[in-house]
Amino acid sequence: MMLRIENLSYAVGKKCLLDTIHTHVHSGEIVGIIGPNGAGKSTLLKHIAGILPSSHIFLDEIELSKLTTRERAKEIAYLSQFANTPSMSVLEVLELGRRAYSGMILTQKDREMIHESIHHFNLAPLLERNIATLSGGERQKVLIAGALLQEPKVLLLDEPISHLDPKNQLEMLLAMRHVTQHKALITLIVLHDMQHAIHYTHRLLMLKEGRIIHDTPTKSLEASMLQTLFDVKTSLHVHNGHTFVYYGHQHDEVHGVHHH
Amino acid sequence: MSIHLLYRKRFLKRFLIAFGFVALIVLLLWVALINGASGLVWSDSVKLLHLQSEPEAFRVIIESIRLPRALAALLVGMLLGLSGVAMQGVLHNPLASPFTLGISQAAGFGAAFAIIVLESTTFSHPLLSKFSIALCAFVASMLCTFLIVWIGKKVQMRPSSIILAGVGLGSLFHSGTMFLQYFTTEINAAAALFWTFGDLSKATYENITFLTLVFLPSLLLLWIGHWKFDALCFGDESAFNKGVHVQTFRSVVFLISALCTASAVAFFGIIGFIGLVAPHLVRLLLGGAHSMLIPLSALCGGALLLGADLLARMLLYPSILPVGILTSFIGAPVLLYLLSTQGKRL
Repeated sequence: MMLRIENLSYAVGKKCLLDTIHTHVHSGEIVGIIGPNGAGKSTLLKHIAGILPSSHIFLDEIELSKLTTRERAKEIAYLSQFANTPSMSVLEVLELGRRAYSGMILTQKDREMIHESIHHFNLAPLLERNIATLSGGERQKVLIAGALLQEPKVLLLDEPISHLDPKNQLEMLLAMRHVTQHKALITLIVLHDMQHAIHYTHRLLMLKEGRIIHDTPTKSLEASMLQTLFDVKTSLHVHNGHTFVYYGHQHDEVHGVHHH
Repeated sequence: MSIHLLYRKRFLKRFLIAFGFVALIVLLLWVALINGASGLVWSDSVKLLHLQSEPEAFRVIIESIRLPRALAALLVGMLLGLSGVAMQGVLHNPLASPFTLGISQAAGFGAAFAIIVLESTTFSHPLLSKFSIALCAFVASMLCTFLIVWIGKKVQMRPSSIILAGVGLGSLFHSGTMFLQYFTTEINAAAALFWTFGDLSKATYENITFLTLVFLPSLLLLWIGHWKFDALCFGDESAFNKGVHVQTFRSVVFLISALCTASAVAFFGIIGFIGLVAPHLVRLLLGGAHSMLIPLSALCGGALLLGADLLARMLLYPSILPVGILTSFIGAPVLLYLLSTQGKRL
């Protein structure tokens, strides 16, 4: 299965937010969307999710804008950057993931799937809790579990780990990688931390001022690409087979202060 | 805990709370039937069981005065509770109420128009004049709602814009009412003002039947969408991704909700706070899932108004207060109390 974006442009007034975006993503692939603030990363995800017009976007041969809202919910799951946390139990949040299929009354099959998801994400101790009282990591886990209950083919995550501590960040990213490969998802994820982007994605889509300036396999990332993307001096270092990224001249400055 | 056990536990809890509300309503109905001009008469409860063999006078009092009034209180309360939970759910706003869209001011204007303008014209038909006030109030409220939905479409049905539009239209209609009152006789102005007090003594079986015919389909239609209300709690974008066509759903809910409020208000005037407080009370008991919140807010609204009407009849006995004055008088402190003690959960 393949998600194709063909010459997608979007402007509000005279300001061009996306400029002829053209790319495709295969199932089983995690694509990291990176770029400075205001580059159009979230806007791109909203187009794919159908919140903004999706007439230039295809899932295999289906044009996404032709789908009804409920059909789309079965193909695409989207976790937005800013969502309210209402007063609702974890079980009820999970149930919402099945509503696109069953509507007002859930079937036996829905309940079995919810049961499986609870087991898989280890949510049993939280089921009766109100999601407003959960920690950031727990809440994100519940929202992801709910999104996956939609049985989507495309998973869109807008900065899913920005508010989590390191342990929860790693758990979340590992879970992403696992489900993407296990369920052959097409996963697009907006990330701010380059270290995470380097370690957990297959490909990087670099957006700047609404344009894709680089579209490269993560393996062949070069420091110069990040440098033009963020306008910051960047260097990549390989140690024990892992790539690390450094920005700016921090070490020089520390030295400079020392010498004075 | 296993999920099956959890489902059973949840079902039991919901069943018990629903049963509690029904029991409370039955109790209040019974008290309403034995409460009359001579205060509460406990011995009347036995007579209620074999009403047919009681004296004509007693039967008439029960059947054509106390029962319609009690049923009207129940139905109007249920309509306002239902309308309130729908408005709060669809506007993401705990302060939304049946009157958020400016419906009460519009209804007040409609009634004033009927009392002041139509009464003085010569072409009023006898059948029409019987219902002219209710009809005008209803038409004005629905007109106000259609205007809001029309404006809403232009702003992508954004909740905050819609609430502002409601405030704006509300004050427009209110100024219209004041304009009419300024240029009419004192008697007409007083009649228009009195209409807004919210009074259940006008109850007849005709308007009870009409309200039932509005209530039942509205309840069903709103309940079918219970999961869409749940999804909307997470914000419009998340709801859309769970399969809710947000703009359409919001417009439909407005229309149903406005229909409920307008029909209640048209017959009985403005009764405040029931629609605001009832959903909050249920939310405190059961949490935010709308599959129960919708029917129980209706039941809670019914119980509240039935109780308030009993108080209105007993408080300053032998004079009877219009219930609308009482609901606002009691409702406001209750709301403030809830806000100060349970503010985080509202």
